[in-house]
Amino acid sequence: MIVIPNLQKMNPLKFIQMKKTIGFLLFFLCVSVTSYAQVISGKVTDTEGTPLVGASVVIKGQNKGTITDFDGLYKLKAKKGDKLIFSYLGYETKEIKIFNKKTIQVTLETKGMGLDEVVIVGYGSVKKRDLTGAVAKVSPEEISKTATTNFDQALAGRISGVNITSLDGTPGEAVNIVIRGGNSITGDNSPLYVIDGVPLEDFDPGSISTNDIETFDILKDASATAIYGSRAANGVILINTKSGRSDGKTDVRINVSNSYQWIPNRLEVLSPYEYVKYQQQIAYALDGYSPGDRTKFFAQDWVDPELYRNVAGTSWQDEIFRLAKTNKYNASISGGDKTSSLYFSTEYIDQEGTLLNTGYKKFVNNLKFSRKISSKTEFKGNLMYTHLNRSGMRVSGDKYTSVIRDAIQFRPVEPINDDGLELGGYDPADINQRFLFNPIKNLENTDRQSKFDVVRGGVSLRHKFKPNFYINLSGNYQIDTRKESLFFGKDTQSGTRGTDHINGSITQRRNQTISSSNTITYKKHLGKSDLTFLGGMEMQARSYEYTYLKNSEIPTDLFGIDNLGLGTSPSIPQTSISKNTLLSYFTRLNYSLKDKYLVTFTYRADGSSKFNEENRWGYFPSFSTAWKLSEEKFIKNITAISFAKVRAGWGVTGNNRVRDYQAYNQLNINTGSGYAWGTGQNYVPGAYQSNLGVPDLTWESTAQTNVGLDFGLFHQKIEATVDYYNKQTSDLLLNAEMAPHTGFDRVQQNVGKIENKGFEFSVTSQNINRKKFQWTTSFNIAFNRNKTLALNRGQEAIYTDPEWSNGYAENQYITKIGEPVGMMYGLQYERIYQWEDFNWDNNLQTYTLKEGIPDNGALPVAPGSVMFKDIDGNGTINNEDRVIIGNPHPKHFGGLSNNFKIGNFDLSILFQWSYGFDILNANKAVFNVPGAGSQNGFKGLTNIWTPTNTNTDVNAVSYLSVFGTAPKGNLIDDRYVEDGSYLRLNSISLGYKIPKKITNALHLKKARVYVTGQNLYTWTGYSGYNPDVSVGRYGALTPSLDYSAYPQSVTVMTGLDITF
Amino acid sequence: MKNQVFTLFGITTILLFLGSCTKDTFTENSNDSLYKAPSELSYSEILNAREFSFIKSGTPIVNTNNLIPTYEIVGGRNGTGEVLDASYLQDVSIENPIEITANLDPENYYVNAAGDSVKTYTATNYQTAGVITIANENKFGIGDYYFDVKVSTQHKEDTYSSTFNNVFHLNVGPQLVTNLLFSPIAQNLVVGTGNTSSTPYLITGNTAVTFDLLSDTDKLSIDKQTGVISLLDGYSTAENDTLYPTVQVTSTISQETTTFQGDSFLMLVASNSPIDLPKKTNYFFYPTLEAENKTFGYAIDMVEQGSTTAWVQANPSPLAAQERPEGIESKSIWINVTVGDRLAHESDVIINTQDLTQFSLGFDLSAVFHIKNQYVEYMPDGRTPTELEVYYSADYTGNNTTATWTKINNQVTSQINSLTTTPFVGLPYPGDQKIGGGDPDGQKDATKNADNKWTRCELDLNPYKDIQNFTLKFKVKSNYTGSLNDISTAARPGRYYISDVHFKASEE
Repeated sequence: MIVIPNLQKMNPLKFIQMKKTIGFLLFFLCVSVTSYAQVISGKVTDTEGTPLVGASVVIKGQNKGTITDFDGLYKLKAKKGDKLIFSYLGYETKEIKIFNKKTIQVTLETKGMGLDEVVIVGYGSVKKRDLTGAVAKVSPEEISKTATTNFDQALAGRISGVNITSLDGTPGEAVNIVIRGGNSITGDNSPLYVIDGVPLEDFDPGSISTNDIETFDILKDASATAIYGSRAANGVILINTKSGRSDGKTDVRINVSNSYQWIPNRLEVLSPYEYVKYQQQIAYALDGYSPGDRTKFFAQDWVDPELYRNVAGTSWQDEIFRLAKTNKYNASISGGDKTSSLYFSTEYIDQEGTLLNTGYKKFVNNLKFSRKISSKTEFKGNLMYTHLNRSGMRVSGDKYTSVIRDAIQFRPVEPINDDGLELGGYDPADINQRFLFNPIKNLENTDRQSKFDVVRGGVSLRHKFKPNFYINLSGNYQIDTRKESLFFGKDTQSGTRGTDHINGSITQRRNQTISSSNTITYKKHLGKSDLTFLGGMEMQARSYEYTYLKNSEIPTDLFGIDNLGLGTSPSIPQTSISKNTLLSYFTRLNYSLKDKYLVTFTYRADGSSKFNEENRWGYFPSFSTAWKLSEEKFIKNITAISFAKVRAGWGVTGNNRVRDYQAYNQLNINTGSGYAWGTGQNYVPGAYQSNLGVPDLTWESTAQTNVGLDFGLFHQKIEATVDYYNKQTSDLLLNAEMAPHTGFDRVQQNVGKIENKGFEFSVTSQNINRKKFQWTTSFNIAFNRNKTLALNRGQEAIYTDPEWSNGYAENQYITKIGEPVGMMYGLQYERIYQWEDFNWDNNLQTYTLKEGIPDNGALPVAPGSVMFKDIDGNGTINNEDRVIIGNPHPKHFGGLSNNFKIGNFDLSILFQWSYGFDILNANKAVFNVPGAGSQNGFKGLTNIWTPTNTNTDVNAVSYLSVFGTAPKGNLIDDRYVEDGSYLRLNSISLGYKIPKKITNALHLKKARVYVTGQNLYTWTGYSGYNPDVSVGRYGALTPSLDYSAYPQSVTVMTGLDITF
Repeated sequence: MKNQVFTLFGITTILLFLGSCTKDTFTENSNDSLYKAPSELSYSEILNAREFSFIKSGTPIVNTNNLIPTYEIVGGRNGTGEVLDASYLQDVSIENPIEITANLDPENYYVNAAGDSVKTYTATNYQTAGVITIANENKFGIGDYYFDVKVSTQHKEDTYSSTFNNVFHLNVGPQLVTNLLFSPIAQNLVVGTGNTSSTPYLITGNTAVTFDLLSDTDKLSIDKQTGVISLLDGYSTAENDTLYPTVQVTSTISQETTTFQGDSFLMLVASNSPIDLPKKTNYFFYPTLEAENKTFGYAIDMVEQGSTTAWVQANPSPLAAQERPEGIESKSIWINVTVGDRLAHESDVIINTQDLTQFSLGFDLSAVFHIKNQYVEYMPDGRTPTELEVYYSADYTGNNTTATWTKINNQVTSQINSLTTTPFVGLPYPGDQKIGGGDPDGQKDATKNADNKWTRCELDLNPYKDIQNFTLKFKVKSNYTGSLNDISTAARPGRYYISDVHFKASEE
């Protein structure tokens, strides 16, 4: 009897080695047993016509079969009436009955989904059906179809439980990826990236080409991530890049695309007519509704609002936005044979930003090669060089200058009679308007280049002592240099009106990582059990160097950043260096009984130089188990259920993302720490303690429990996964407030506790699967609930000012025990004060607040002033009346994708949503509040309170000499918190595969033309540019803040993808 | 299959088209559909009006979508619902917006689209539109009153109107005693003789009051009904004991209280034998001028701002300190016309209205104030570019433009930088009095050079003792139009200071 090995489990290379032997044996058996059988032959290919090497061909019901050779050819003897089963890993199995034909050509379709898909887990891989942890997989092909420049921009909505949000629309900017809720409060919540097996901190998603991605897997729960120990608490993203072919053939692939981006919406501002009416209202208000100078100035400059009713006006947003083009070129060569392989790709992307003078360039070169030194030993290497350049002034995050603000506030029309103000309506002589400047000039004359060069290389050696016992040794090196130059020419706000005038600065950061990862793997089949043991050791050393220099008062901007020495007011240059090392040991044990009961145990010990010797080592265990219910008889009888598996796991992971040397006392010297000393009172530098070392500083640790169910229905036409998790992060690495007597405001400590628990569901359905029409639908949804369980000792809450503008310095966020992290915090708007709130004193001819009506803090109130709820009932509005006014955490988020194949056409449509979260729309706090100046603003300014327009929630400019705006410190209230819920048509990709007869004529293997749209339409009630925004300065403490953010663009791309 | 492909392309095109829509930057212009009948008329209620006296409401607010409203009183009723007849309503009036036409500055004349030179502009003054005024000596006694007001607006040919019933609530209380007068102010109580103070006069206010003593209760007692103060039985003193009692007067109708204290109100000297006491002065109005507010004694009416730094607080006149009563804090206020473009300026400082009738008997009445001019340099023709004038009105009720003002510069007597020199009639001419380019006004007098010096001025109020509504006003105005720069760069508009404005009643 011949036993056909489980071919799907085996490496194709192994198939090739075995094929001759097996084929030979089968041939003899077939000849001897079925003397009347006929020889059937043919070729097995994929849908592209590529031969499938090592595909299994067996006769149904018999232990007879063969595998295909290098050309996909097979030959075996079978009787008429026999059924041949053709199968291949990752492809649909096909069954064909033999009639009279002696040649049977078979095309196998790729499996859209399948339990036999291989999922990459840390330091190894496992079939999806055998997973015990929560692991998600993304199709790199789907990502590469999108009109994005970096892969992370295409992930939103594709993975359940992974919340992907943008900071804003800055070209090339990395997105926020938070897996199963944020664990850290003041630390980093981004996942660990593992690229080709190398864990990389501070990984820039721009540094690889989307087209180079072979596999993309996300480890979500602790039982999956614990193998990465102290860096895995935020989840792990595993990316393996493509390698060369091993079948002796060579593919050359060229992908050229061209796209256009534009900003689809505008923040609605007053039209020329409404603006002039508004100016008239301001004039009357400031004159106390008795015509005075302001009314006269209005009359002499603007004359009459009606004159502007049909004036087109200047849309300053249109002036600074543009239709931007992106060119993308990608070429790769993939070749090799069973002993050597080579893969090389190069990619060049040149993206114009949709704001003037901004852009993103990317140049990636990737070389991978392998060589079998012997039948047991294989050597692999890779070398990658990437150059990124993000150019243009930073749109958000500047507390003083903002081109978006200027574009909103610059007036849309100039007066008929010149009023002496600058174009756009600001007074260059007014000290209070120094922050305003022409946004076009600001953009065009600010030269900011953020250049990022990364060289990443690695070598590895894999040696098999026995087929089931092998070691893998690897060494890796990465250096990235990030140089940011910033030059303000004369025609910029800084150059003209700032104190430094023309000035430039260069900041250079150099990160170097050297690491080695070595594992040993042993697999054993014992009766009904399978055992896999993995042991490993990893070392990593990182260093960081920093340089900063600046010069100001440069007499000319002719030379730009290239001759800073011309400046006459240099700043003191700064340099620093820091290093850290990590040594790790880890192990994993996989045990399977009867292919029904699965157990995985992992353990990792990490030692980090960031911590004191006593706390240096952290230990991260995990345990998970799975039970394949579908292998049990009581399920097998239910025909609708084709697969079912329950999983449960627990594990501990860590987070060590604190700056180097935080556990140690540090001394520093700077310009402010010196003394005038000795004879002549010369300046002598003095040292001061810059960090209070907390000796017992250690890992932030997250314990996570996960329970999941994977199931398939109707022969896996429907596959679904449900997960429930509960994460508790303790010993938070919190930049905690200190008692004043220590002399330190904040010190990094291990205090506090955060909880995240949630539910995830994903389902994929193969709705139609015909030869010429296929339709697949995928849906995922996730619910996460975040809660702060503890903070610093004795601390109830952390109050945070997101510092988006100097004029709005107040705590707008709170992280409070019992509530989620980073809640919006402010006053509750009550209404506008009206006369009913006052009594009139006939004697003094003035008014007084009625008893029980609160005042507004530091400034007097009058009808038209804004009134807030007096929460503490003390009769005055102040800091004590602030409450939670918004929740930035979505109730649920997810995605819905549909993929169609109709003949040669393929179509993918992805919808993505986030529901039930709030945005602090700080733009409204600035632009929807009237002022006494000439600045334009939002629609609310058409409805300001006046004594003849009282039914409004927009305060008065001034009434009875009282300004209606709230005093500083009371400027943020719940009127500026908006529901951010949205549903987005994230992407549509339509492709057409050029028919074979054409490609053959052109000597092409295949060719596809496509048109793709990204971020096409967003259904939302949010009034800002886009609800997918978060430009808060302090990460998890200040989420979902929108102020002066770079707007998100719509992208439409066309392209051609050909393979020779 | 073809149909499916076309459908696919169709859907894709529509979706891409959706994505390509760019929202417009500007809000839509508002249109006539906004305008509706006025709504939400609201007055601040008056709870402290005095019976039969002048009443003036605040300016109401109303929702008209910013159309200028006009107002009309259409009825009223008292607290029991009885309709107010004409005898009540004849004293009630309501103000309406006033359209004004004013001149543009010459340098801002412009030619409009029709080719006409435009030199004026029109605007609407509705600062006091809707203010309800009830004349003095009216019929409104103690009680509640409610008024119905009709509001109308007009847009093009359309008129909108609404009537708001009971929209203005007026609560009238009893007249309060505003001046409790003991005559003489200084009185001698001889121990053991049982003599008492005089009975105080209630010159103003409702006489339904009681008296209470809030100070010196260990030495004095007061007759609750008459206000007569006497020494307590058993009081003894070794030497003359001077007392300044604090007396509280309580209305028995409304229980409102008024408190009187200070040496200008009553000085009692307890002695063992009779003594002679000097005559006293009652400084019945001595405002601090610390802010622009009736509470602090004055209001500013900026007629023409020009390029001034207008009316801010400064230190008081040191000259005035010599006669300023103890315990009174005072500030001066000043205006700087010499700033920026030195545009023509005019503004009024209106001092709180005073009832002079309360001192009609037995007192010598006067108003005193200190002024200073500084940095005034004459124009080429020798005239002062700016000057300060003094006015009074007997009918000012809050509206500067409608009141009748009489210039009284020549009724004032002045002493420059001295309290001892002989006063001269009139105010000193601003500046250094040098003839220079000329003296077209004929007012320059080198002996009256008040340049950068404080001048004490006094106005004899005895001719005005019968005025219940006496208002003093200072005006600083330019004698040029446009910018002084166009006339002369050497000329300077200067600064003007006002300090220690007060009214006093001295016992005859």
